Amino acid sequence: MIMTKFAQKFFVLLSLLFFFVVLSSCTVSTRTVSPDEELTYDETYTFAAKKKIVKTLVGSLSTKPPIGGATDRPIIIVYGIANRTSEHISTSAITDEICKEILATGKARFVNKEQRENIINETDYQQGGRVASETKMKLARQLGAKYMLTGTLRSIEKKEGRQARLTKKSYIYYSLNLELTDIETSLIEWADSVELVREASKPFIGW
Amino acid sequence: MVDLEILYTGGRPAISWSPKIVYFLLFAFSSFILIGCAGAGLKDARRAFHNGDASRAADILSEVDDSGLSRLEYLMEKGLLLHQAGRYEESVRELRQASDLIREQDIISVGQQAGSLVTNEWVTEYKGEYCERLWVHTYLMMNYMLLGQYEAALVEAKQAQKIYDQFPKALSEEYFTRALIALCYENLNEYNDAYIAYKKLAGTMKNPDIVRPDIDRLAGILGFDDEISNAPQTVYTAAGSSELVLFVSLGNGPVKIPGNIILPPGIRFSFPRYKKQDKRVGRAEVLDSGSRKQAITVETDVVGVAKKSLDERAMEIYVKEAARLAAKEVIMRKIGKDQDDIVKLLLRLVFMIMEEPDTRSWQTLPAKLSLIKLPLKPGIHKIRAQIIGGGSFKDIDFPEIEFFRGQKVFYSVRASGGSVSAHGRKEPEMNSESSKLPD
Repeated sequence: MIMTKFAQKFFVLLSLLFFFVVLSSCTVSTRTVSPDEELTYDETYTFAAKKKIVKTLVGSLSTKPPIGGATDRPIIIVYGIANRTSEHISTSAITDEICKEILATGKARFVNKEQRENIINETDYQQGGRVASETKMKLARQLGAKYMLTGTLRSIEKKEGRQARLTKKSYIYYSLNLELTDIETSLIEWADSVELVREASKPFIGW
Repeated sequence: MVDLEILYTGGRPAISWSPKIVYFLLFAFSSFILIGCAGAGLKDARRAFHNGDASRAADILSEVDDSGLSRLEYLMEKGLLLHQAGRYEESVRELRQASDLIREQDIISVGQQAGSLVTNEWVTEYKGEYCERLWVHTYLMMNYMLLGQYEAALVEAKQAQKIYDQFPKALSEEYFTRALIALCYENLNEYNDAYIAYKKLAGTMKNPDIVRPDIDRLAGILGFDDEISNAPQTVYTAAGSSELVLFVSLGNGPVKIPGNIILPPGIRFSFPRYKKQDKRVGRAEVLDSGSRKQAITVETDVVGVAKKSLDERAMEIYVKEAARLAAKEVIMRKIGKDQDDIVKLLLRLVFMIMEEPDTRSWQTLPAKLSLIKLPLKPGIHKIRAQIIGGGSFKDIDFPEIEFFRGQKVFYSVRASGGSVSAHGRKEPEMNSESSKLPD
């Protein structure tokens, strides 16, 4: 009799627990995540991967010659990073971050290539007679870049072969290579690369 | 157990309907509704497309809730319809969703599989045939090239390559997409990769000489002089030549229909099979200012590849079908135990009807995909595409196009059921002009 009562209570408790588990899984929850927190759900490229890549390359670019030893804050133009991976990755996010970090070090300056058309439009407008002459931009004052920053993001993907198991593993190797080319001499003055490998294990079976 | 009594009058004996039979009939009824509801909206859209209005067909699908088990089918159809309507950005959005969905469907759902064992495949998510999974990337590649986004096209080319690696046998006769992969590399001056892609393509083709001009040209660029054949060049190959690239879709692709084998005592063994829609498809040829031009043409028989792809999955289908029939037989005997013969007969009939093969498929595909590359001297050209031997198709006259040195001009052409549409774009860095041909 005692055991029966205990069993009844146990099952009521278990049912309540199950009910709360189901209820909590059905509710929408949100939380604010720090950009420094590493969030990975699979092996593909993530925000955390970008942060790691940028941190490593900015450290190298801003400390090694020619930028590291320069005192005249050389001017760089960014010609973008070619995406040669099998994912749709916005590589401009990497170059934007690199520009921001290098500018923060005060070691170099950047030509705003992306805004060239807008700059021309604005200059033309100011020269069009509608702007007071004392505030009008002077022509031929733009500065030429000394260096060109380019790069390539590559990936190699590997999956475990077909065999009897409940999960499958795959990994992606990412490599970002950056180059700083002297536009006048065509010499590569600095080059570095950063590599990272992400592994993921996925179940074959789900509900 | 309380029996639900339904009494028939008129001198016939009363049949006793136990709750388990009533529940079973309700279950079966809902499964019929599921099959009946699947495809609502798709039929209208497909009809509009076959009547020659791809844009309206895509708009019809936009108004349909595509969140169900056939979501992939909707996304693929919509992506293709938008492509044919020349709405490439929208097509990319739909097909990228389809691509993501295919990746998510990698996990086998125990719930759906268990449900399908006692009903049919319609209660599972549609995952697309192997070839359909490939063609999602094929259309994405074409879209990106037509938008001048070569880097994104190459991403899709690499994803398409993964599908080839996954299902080599099923896709061994899909040449068109392999040629597109090579073109994606070439567009970004990745000549070595393009060369390898063309070599792979040649290795799978019955007539590898078709792509010999491409292999020779790239071997020349890469300095692989001993790889250049001595065969006379059949196409114009001067340095700095421009190129017209046509993605030609001819006819209507295959549709899935049910195949049935009825075994005594009333067991229906059913399976899907492909049926071609067009008896004659024909081929496309190109004329420049009235004279026929020798182009590099790589073709894929979509009907043949689809059939091969389904055949590759046949064993899986048959094993599952046998397991389902066994499971249904056990259920039927359990439910039908101690029941009248007429109830048993009714149950068997319901199970037979419920045994409906999964005929979901990408139905707006063409019967043939052709990649036509025509190298041309820079200058103004008046191009006409002729469909030879394909029934009542009209000639397709392109507007006068000025080709610059080294420039590529892309056009996607669809000719099916007597209607023709073509949309194209010049390489954006040279000239972003976009033109649409009158239908």
